[in-house]
Amino acid sequence: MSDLTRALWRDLLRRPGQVLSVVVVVALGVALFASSFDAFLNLTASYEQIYREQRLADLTAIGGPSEEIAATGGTVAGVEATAVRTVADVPLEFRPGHTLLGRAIGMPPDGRPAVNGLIIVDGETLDPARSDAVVVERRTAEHWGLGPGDAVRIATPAGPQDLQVIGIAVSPEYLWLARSRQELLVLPDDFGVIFAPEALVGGLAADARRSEALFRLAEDAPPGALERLEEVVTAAGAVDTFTIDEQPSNAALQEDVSGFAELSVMFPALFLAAAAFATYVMLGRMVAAQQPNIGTLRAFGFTGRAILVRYALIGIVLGSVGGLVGVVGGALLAEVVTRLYTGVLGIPAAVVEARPTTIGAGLATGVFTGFIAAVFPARQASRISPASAMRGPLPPGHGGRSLLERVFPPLGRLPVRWLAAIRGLGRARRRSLATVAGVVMATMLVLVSWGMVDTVQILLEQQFVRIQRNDAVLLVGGRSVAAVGDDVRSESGVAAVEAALIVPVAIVAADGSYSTTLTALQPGSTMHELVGPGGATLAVPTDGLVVGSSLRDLLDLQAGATVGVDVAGIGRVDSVPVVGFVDEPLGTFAYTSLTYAASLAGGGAPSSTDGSDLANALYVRYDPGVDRAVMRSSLSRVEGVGAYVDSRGLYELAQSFMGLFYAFIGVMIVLGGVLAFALIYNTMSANVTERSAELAVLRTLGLSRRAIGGLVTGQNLLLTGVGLVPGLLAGWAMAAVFMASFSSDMFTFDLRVRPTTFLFTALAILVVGALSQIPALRAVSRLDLGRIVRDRSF
Amino acid sequence: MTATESPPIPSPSRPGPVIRMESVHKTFGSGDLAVHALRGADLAIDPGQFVVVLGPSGSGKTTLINLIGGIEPATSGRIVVHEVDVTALEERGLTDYRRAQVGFVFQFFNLIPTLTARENVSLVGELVGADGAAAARTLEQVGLGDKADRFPSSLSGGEQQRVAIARALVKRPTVLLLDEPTGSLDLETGRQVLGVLHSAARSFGSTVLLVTHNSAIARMADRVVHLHSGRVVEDRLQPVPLDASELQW
Repeated sequence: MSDLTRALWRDLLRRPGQVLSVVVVVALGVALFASSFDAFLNLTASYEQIYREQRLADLTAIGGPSEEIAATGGTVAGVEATAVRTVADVPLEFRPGHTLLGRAIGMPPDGRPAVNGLIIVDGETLDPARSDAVVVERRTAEHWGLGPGDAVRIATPAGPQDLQVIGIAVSPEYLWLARSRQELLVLPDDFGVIFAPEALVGGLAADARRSEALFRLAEDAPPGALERLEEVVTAAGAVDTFTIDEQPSNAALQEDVSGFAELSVMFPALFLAAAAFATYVMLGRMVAAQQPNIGTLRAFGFTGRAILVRYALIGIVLGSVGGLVGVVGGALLAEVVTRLYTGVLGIPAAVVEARPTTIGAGLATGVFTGFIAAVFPARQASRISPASAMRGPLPPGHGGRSLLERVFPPLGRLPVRWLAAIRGLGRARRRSLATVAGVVMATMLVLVSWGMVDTVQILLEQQFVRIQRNDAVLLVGGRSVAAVGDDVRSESGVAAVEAALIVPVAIVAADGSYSTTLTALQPGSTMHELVGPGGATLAVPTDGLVVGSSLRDLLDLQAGATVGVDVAGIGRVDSVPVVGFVDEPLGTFAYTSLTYAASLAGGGAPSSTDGSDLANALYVRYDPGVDRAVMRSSLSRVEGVGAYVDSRGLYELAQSFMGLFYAFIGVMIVLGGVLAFALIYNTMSANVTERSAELAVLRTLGLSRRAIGGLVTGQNLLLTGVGLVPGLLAGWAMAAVFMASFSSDMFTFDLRVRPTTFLFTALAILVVGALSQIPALRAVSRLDLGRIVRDRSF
Repeated sequence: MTATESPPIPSPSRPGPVIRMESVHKTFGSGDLAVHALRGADLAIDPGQFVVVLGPSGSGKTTLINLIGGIEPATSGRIVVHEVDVTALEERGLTDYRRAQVGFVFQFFNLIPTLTARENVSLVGELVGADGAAAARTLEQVGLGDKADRFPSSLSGGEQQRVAIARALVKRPTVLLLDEPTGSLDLETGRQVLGVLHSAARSFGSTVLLVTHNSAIARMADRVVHLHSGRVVEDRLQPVPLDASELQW
């Protein structure tokens, strides 16, 4: 190592706090990148592995002549396997007395379908000799404590039938247990899945079952094979189709995983930009302070290039160290996240890899960050002329009234010490800018995170408090809804009951079709509020449908358009008007009145009935304070109640998922604090180091430590305040983009940020800004006045 | 004394010295690396005297005024300024002492670059509760009344040093301590600054202690103290001091 390089490093090591802050921020940025990117790759690979091994359908065709559809589709180039099955949503009892609307999926007699296979994790698969044997989906079995040998009761047209559990399985279709794309959040108390012999499922109630043709493409399927297949099966009569990307469980998981992909770009970029700023500030001040030394070296014959290389090297080494720590930490974090996720999802073999590309990219990112940050100060150093050696230290800077004083002249009457603080902001513009930029970035990070919490909380409240105003939904079978409704109404604790029709439908438009649920409500329903765009309450339509806003884009619909509606058990009705749209955070559903549903049942002709005879469900609201478990038990016993869906329980489930979300957001907010701390600390340290003589002189003039601390703190809090406004605006904009990227027909995340969140974010950043000054203020209080005024000037 | 109280003006009739140093030692570092800057310095300076401390580099000149000014602690010995035992003061007391009794002027001016000349002076004036016009009056006294609203970067070196003198004098200090105040000025500017200093200090009644290695400046002093290797080797009164304008170096 040359003496010049050694001198530079010694100078650097005299600033351990600043060096550490740069390394920590680089490491955090790289670790965030490496962990989220590798978690994204690991989880994607884990999902793809199980999909490949179990041959998850690339395309599922619902309805129509499934055998024919499968045969026709099977001829499309690239199709590797096809299967036909029946799926029925029927009442199931996993525990005596607890009926839920579960799902029975038809399987070949040997339990080994060509598409959508199962991983048996306990017991065995279906046995051709056992027509009453079933395999239970893992999560369902865990919730109900089922194992081989236990019994499950299923509702058949002939009455309840007991089935024996012979195996527990992980299904690639239900890694995330969802009833449909519209109902991604379901309680295991309300939904469970069994895999039963096809003969059994095919014999279940006709209005509860649908046939499906499944298609798996070969790995080397030609480009466009999926689109071609979709066209062929639609032409062959399929009512609706969904691809592997649209499959509910996979779509939910992909939505989640894509969050990691986005995290791997946005948050690391913030940290690395901050690290670059911190390095830039530190090296910039070093170069300024060492100008005479650099000039002397140049006078001695060192080339500008030699000076440039040495200063640039500092940034590169700092970036490399941060990058190295980051990739190691990131790899460990990625493994933890991957194992956590795959463990929760029950994926037997998680793919966990330390990818050279991620390591390389992480290191390169760290090095690049350091280099970019160092190159400008290094160039500045290389351009210092030998004459600088003769000029002594840099001039103290030009005075002038601050912009604030020019805009608000009365500020000029402030006490002089405050004027000094205000004008000091413009004295080292780049340093001030770096502090402001750091504050902006930290504010963005905190507000984006906090905004996500607000959005989810507000939208959940909207969904489960404003929109879904019922406590339970009872699915009725075997008796008239009116009679069951009377019995339910007479139960103690029931405040109100409304009849409704809830049926699966496919909405067909010129641009495609969309499978969802149609709910027909009583006019003036108090159980489900229809909330339109802008928050207005819509009346229950009597002349058409209102549908979820996502269908505007998905099916290119406008209010007043007409669609075809394929209603399970009724058939296809064309030219149904769409009279409006609803903004519902969860799912994309269709709504109408029971009266209009009656006209649909009549093939579109006006109906003379109020449609109550069509109803198949009851919305129930309880008296305040009743025990929901008791209500569930008593209402489930009412004759004709086929299944019970706990609406409030869903809210609690959603809130329980928020726990993990809060933990994640908490980490992000803490990281935002670390970012702000590191940056403000770095610029503060540079500030105090550079101004040590000035501050010392103020002490000799009689300013107390406290007064000087106040001066420095005021100046920095002022800078923090300057950064807060653009930070809050940019954070809000970024949060909106971020939330929009998560929106789909499954979730609608319009950004909602509470006004108090802006306030608390600002306060949090101000507190961090104040805390980050403590080390610098301690340095101020330790100033060796004698040495400073003896050794140098400014 | 609080910041709002006016500093006491030394009374010419006050008996005894305003600065008294008794066997003062100052050592930097320890062991083999110890540097003995002062080795038992004794000194007594009367109110209103203009004292020049001479000595070669490393003789302890700057340390002497740093100790008197309370910005460095003595290793041993006693320093009493205006009946205040500086060596017994804690941090808070030292701050109050500096604020009330001491004015500093450094070789490199050390003005706050973002404040005008008037504001640099007002900064100290506000500290001691001086009235708003005090800064302007003091600048007038150092001949800078017309440049009060200039920032340091637009002032010459001599003008900056005069602002520094005004800043030190605005609080009417008991003692004015100057460390090589002409060290970075040319002869003519140096003479102007010294002239201003001398007359202003006189009018404020401040005792002046000026350290320099420039022996020519000693000729304008009432008293000349020579330091060598941390000891006072000569201390003499000068019956007929020269006017600053007569100095040559």
